[in-house]
Amino acid sequence: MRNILLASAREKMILAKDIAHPSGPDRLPIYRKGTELTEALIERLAGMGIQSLAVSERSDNGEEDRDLQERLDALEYRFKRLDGNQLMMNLKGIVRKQLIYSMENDHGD
Amino acid sequence: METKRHPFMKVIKDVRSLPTIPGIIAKVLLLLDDNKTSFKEISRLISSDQTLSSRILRLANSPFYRFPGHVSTIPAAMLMLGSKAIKGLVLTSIIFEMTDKNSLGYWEHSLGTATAANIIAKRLRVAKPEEVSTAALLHDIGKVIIKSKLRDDYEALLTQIKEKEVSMREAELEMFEVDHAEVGGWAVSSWGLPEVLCEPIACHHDVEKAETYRVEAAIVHLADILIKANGFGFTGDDFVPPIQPAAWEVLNVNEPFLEEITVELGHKLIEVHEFSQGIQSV
Ligand SMILES: [Fe+2]
Ligand SMILES: [Fe+2]
Repeated sequence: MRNILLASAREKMILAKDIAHPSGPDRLPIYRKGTELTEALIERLAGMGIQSLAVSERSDNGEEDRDLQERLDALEYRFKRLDGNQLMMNLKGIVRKQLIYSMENDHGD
Repeated sequence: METKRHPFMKVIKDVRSLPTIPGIIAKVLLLLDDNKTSFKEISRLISSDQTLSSRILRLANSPFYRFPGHVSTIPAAMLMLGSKAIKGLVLTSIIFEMTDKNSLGYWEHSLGTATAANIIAKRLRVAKPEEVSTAALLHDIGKVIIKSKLRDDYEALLTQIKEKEVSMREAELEMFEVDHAEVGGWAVSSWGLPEVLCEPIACHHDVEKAETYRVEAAIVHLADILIKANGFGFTGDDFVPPIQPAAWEVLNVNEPFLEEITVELGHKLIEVHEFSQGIQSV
């Protein structure tokens, strides 16, 4: 999965996360992950004020879980020498939370 | 002590061994130093060089300065950024020449750190956030210099980092008894960059050493750490350095602040990533 700007979105890319209307009150997804992008859909997203979105090359469901796990492992590795440092452990927690959020929730706005 | 440090300092400090500065850039740097030179004259000189002016405009419109609208002329860029930040951009354009095509990781790290520094500086209401971003953009220039001046030692450095799982800075101190921050500081001050850029570059791993611009040094220090924590870009090692107590103290921030910055940065980095993809083709 990668996050891209809508300006870089092209036909045939696959949505890697659900997209909700940015100003909708309930933020219910209106485009499901796995949807293939078309010119018309890209235009509609632009009209909704969506600026960035997550896409994947293939519509493979297991891919994302592996992707998140890999990123979390890499995060652990980057912080592995800081175990005794409370401030840095808290920073790791903050980055971890943000990472999980950005992978699981759409934040196309 | 002096045994390793001395010869190395000689190589780095030897003007002839420093990356050569093209004539036009040397002239621009000189003019920027001279208070009697008008904006108009400097603008005209920069504009006369296609590559230089298109790079400066590209950088002035990059996500890390976050100016509203589009900066399309050199005089406009100079007005918005100020002569000190422009000076930093002129130098940045030289580093483009120095780095090879495979240094995308370095550019992502530098542009990401500049972006984080801009977010922090604006939230802390620092007087000239553009200067802090520019210092952040150049903060790891010492690594480029070590790589270009000491090719063989640089290979040995990378081997050390892998084998001993140490940071690049630790490996540098072990091998050369100076780190890339100090080397970068020497270089930029020998190129005539103002102190507000030099000190934060020289002190980004040792904030306590900064005497005049400690807040700026602390912002670059924190921005660098946040970018490494995010795993954005790559500059030789993966390890996140700890936030120094001196930096935490002078910035006087708290953990909710770190969280706000991290969230804002997360959104911004998507843009920076796309920007860096295209930057080397300028
Ligand atoms: Fe550094
Ligand atoms: Fe750095």
